[in-house]
Amino acid sequence: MLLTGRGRAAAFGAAGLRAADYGEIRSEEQEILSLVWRGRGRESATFSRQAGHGVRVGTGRGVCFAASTDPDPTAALRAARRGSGVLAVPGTLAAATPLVADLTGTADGATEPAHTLDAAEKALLLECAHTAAVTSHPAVTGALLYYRESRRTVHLTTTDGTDLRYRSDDLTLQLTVTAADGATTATGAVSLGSAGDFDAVRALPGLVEQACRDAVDTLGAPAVEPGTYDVVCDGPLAGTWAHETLGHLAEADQLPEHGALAEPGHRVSGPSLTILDGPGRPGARGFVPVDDEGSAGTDVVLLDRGMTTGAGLHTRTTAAGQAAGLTGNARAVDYRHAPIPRLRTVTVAAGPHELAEMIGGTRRGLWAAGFHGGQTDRRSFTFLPATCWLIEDGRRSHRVRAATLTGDIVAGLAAVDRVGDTPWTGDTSASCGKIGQWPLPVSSWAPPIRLRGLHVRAG
Amino acid sequence: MSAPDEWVARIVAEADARAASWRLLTLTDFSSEAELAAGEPDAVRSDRQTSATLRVRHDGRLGTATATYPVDPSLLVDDAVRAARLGPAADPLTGPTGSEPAAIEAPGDDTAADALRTFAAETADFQRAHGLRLDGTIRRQVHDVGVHGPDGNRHFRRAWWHQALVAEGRAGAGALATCTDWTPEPALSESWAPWLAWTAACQELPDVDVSTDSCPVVLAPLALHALLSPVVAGLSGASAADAYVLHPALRLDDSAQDDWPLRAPVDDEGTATAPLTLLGDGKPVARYHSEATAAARGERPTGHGFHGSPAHRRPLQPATPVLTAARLTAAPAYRVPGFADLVASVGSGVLIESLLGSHQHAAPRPVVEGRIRAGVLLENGAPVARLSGQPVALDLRELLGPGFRAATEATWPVGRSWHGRMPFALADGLAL
Repeated sequence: MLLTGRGRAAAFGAAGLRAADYGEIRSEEQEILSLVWRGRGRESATFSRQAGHGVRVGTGRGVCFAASTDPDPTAALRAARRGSGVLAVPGTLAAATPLVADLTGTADGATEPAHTLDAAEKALLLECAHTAAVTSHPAVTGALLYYRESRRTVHLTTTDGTDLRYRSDDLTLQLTVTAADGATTATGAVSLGSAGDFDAVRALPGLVEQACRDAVDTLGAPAVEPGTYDVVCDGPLAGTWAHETLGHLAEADQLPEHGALAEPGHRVSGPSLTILDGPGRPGARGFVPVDDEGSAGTDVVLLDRGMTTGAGLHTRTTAAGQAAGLTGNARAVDYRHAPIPRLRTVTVAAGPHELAEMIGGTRRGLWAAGFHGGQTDRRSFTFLPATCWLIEDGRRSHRVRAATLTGDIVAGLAAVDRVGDTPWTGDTSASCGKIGQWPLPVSSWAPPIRLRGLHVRAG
Repeated sequence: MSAPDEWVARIVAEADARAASWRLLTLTDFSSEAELAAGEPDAVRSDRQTSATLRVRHDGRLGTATATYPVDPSLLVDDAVRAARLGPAADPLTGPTGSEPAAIEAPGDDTAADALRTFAAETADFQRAHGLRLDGTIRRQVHDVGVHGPDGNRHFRRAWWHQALVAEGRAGAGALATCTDWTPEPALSESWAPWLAWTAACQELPDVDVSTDSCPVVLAPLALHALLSPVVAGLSGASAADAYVLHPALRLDDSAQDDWPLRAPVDDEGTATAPLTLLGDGKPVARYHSEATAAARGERPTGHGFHGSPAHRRPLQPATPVLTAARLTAAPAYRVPGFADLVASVGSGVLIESLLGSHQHAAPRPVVEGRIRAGVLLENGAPVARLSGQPVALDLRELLGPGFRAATEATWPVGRSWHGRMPFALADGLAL
């Protein structure tokens, strides 16, 4: 273990860490721009600058965390060291390979880095889009537009010898258009995201037109008849389904209620379904080449051709507790939080089926596209697709509104009988939240999938 | 003057010099927390953070900037003015209102570790005495809050101990009860201890699923909090929907009593807080507002504008209307002293302690759906079996409407998106 007297590492000695102790300083700076339009006009504009240290100290009694905005991390290290005196259950961190690198200059391929553009120019484009939405049709009563961009810079130093700098940019835009006709309301939405590339927003005008058409057309659509349907989900919805169900259950600090999913070798779905979590690719929101403990990211296969792998997504804490290897899943939304197991880029691998065949082979079902909202509770899921069409005798017939898809997680995996051959690998504005740590940028990639016999209710 | 205090003073001076109209919220948040596994601390964390949220009116428009100490104050003001160029039209900022509150002294940081150890030990003793497993968190929290504006400055300190515990039975019997409390001292909640002891006696009961068209249901405070959440959301100044009408025996107030540790003399926008009746005789009386929602409706702010909540201030979030000390009460003819009286009155029914998944729907609906996290089957006024995991749909229009029968005089602390004290309530008309 290194304990040097130089620079940031001097804080470890000043805080009273002994030679056998572990020390870690994760210093972060983050700048955020947030713009909101609600109803028929502007609601708010906020610039945020935040900086602080999240530190950990490991002694013979265990590992404790402290966060502080004080420029000098020494006091936080002392507080973390004092905290170990409270611990009654010893804990350790798994050994990690020290990493010395400065990744802040790594190009991410952004065409128009958002942080380089004038805020007024961006706001003007967004305001035009909002105005276009609210004036598009007499039935449109309002639109809600959230825009958020952030730039996060991290410097991680540990007594193990890690000295790592990295940066991540994020951008999200969510526009929800509401149309009303007496007692009935319907919405259409645009959901965009990128790793800080404003180029993703340039397509907004056309997308707003589509969202307005969706809202107005859905308004006149009949409510879905509750019942059991074969549901063909588009890529974005399928990716979210994989993230929310199997993805979260694989986080090593979760206790799955379905024992079969935690153990390898159980068949829970057909051979076409493979799901993994990985570091993703540059330019994507869920690109995590190194995590917030300095561990390099690896692909972790969660479901291999329908068979459980029992693989978990780990931090140094959970890896030590479960005698597992590090996977690069230790993430903290900012300096205020210790890293916990989080998802990165969840991918449903391409299957053998064409979308036309999936729909053509559905006698009575739904085509569900996009993700409007939903929840899971580790046993079941409830999802609201953004748009929905009835499928009758192998053809998309007409829109339906107010469809809510519900099901048991394990039964849902078993219900997948078709996996499309063309994965969607974009980004939306959907961010991940867990124990108050939100918004965490993630990506969820998938081809269309079909689930047989899903329960659908109205409202 | 400490360095953070000097920082705040510089922000005030810069804002006053450069903005015609401004208001500043500053927060120093100290906390020490232990996570408990079976009553034993297995994770500890502490925090000390100072932040500022500045709102500026410039050329008739409103902008907001936030920063953590010690970002250069001139940068913070620059950001707020830049934001105003992109922001909405707004009236001049005023306040804070009310009078300067008395400060509450809080113990220094060094005592937190000792107190956490003692608190954890008391929790472990309780679980051993009652054959339970207690998991959760205990946390000491101190908020130093400053609201500065053209009409003066308001500073106050609030300190409390927060406990959020889940009680499970021996050998994986599943969740029996969930409790949360904010207390002035590091001690197990006196409110919840009798209830935890009662539920501990249920852990040996068999698990069953129940099917019924209609039966009486006793809703424990946490289940009642879930059922009331759509009502609370509908009374918010931000709500576009009509508010619900409940049984005429029911009344909902946001009381902010002096002994409520989360009580704030002003909200985060500088509006003095005061008791507010939201439902009287079951009918809506008033909405609770932030500045923005009040302005949108042409009403006055009510002192409910918080960044997050008084328990969890989130300076990066915008201020929204939040209830901080809600209390549901029943008319005298509908009251019983305690939960044991309510349970004893049930010939054949169920008690629902809490729900899983009920708080997460996209929009408030009158039917709260989820699964029973913990509950019991009641026969002849006594628990005979445990309920766990069964899907349930609670219709507030029925259970807090014509189906309402009685509520306890006593109340228990609850909190998630909104905080307060709820009774146990008895209603007819639950279908499972």
